[in-house]
Amino acid sequence: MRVLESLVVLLESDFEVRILLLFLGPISAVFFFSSVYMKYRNTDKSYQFERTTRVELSDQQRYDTYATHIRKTSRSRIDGEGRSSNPRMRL
Amino acid sequence: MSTDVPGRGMMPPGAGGPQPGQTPMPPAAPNPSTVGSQDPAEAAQVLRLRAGEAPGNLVRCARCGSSDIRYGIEQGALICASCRAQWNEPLLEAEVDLTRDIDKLRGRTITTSAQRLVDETTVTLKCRACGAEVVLSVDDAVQTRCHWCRNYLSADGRIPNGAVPDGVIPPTIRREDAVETIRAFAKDRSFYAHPKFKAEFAPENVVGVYLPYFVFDGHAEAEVQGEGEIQTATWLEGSKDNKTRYYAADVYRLGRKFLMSVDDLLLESSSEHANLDDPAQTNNIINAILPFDVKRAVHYNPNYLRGFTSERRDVNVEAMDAVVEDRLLSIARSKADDMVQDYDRGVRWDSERVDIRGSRWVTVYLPIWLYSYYQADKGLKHFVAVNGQNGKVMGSIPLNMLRLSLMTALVFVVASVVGVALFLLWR
Repeated sequence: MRVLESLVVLLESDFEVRILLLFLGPISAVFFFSSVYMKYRNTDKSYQFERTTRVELSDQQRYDTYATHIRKTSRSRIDGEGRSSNPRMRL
Repeated sequence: MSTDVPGRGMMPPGAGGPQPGQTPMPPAAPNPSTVGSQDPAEAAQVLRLRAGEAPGNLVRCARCGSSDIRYGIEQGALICASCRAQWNEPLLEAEVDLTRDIDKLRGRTITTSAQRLVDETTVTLKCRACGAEVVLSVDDAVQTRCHWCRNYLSADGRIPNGAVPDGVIPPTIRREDAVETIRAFAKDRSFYAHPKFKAEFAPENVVGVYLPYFVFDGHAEAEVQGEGEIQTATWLEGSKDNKTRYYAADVYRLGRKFLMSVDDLLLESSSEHANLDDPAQTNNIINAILPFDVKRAVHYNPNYLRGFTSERRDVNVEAMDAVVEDRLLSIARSKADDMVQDYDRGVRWDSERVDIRGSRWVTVYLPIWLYSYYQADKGLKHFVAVNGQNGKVMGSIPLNMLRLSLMTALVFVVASVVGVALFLLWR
């Protein structure tokens, strides 16, 4: 989904999208190699305990405090989102 | 300049009061990433189960007294070789509650079999049928035969050497089915498989293995804090050939705090397989066929292990603190992510914390059909593993890197030619 969003932003910008065609070879090669490698070696597979373990939540508390307003930014996502996008990576 | 205001409501996620089941939480200063835990000095409460009460080294058939008993997968029961009586041990759940009252756990509760290990892997069993003394190394097996009366003798739970768990999940997947599953898995990955692997591949060599695990139940308080953004407007600026998309957004400081009752989290208790990044063997493959339905575990009876190999537990509960805290933090973050879906520009978590209030540790043996292949030139042992309870398969197949590299080069050349051609045609 985020890849799609990024693509839309790229297509809307003044960037010469057709230049990307020149990178079609390397992009395809990397995609091909990594997909075959993962299919055979499965090095990215592990116990998905976050999803499969039964967890009951209780006493849920929350706060959402308005901090500021960004009037104009070209960033389509919050800054630093990638640092915490994987729940298994410690902050 | 054109302005597109998104159609969705721009109410902040916290507006309109708390969500059902949630209460407002006062904003707190962001904490550094911290992990709380039980006081290591705190003595664990010990749950005494029947399995831990030294059942004796001679397990007999209740009907005829024979000790020649094995588990039949087709029958789903222990079968006496002499009188053909069939039975199963009672469910572990019947004695130790593996489900309820997790929120009432305080401190660390362990079963007798989860106690600190002693370095006594060679035990002397006194045969209760004839009185002979038989030496058994639990590193190699949990059963042996008395050399005088030929009765089967088993290691029992009197010595906490990791050989006797609380429970065991009997396999439901037959060996022949596991062989076919592994064969199909490898066949689907044959084109780029290493030629030596293809020549030597013999799924008939699959072995049934019981691996030791901790079943962890825990009650913990978790808290994560960070920042989230909600888009309020978006627009394009610039001329026809030079446009840039811009955004306006509201920024919120946010936090989520909750209590978690975690039920049946499985943790490896064999150090050989616990390290998922081991460069010598693909331990992540065995890890990936988890979970098992632990509610179906029965009381340990060594006869379930006949025909299987097994590895004994060699990790103490105390050594698992860091692993457990890491798992709970991951679960907490995953749950918190589900709670902030309204922030359409995303959330960046800045701090995380979990305090374990109570935990319960039970030990089990889980059945796995395992095919292993040692790739000598890489010094790497590849596994193809089948979950003995539900048949889930995962594996690592050695690659023919020459063939894969050549095909990758071919893809590179063809795609480059197509890309350049399209580039020249696209005016």
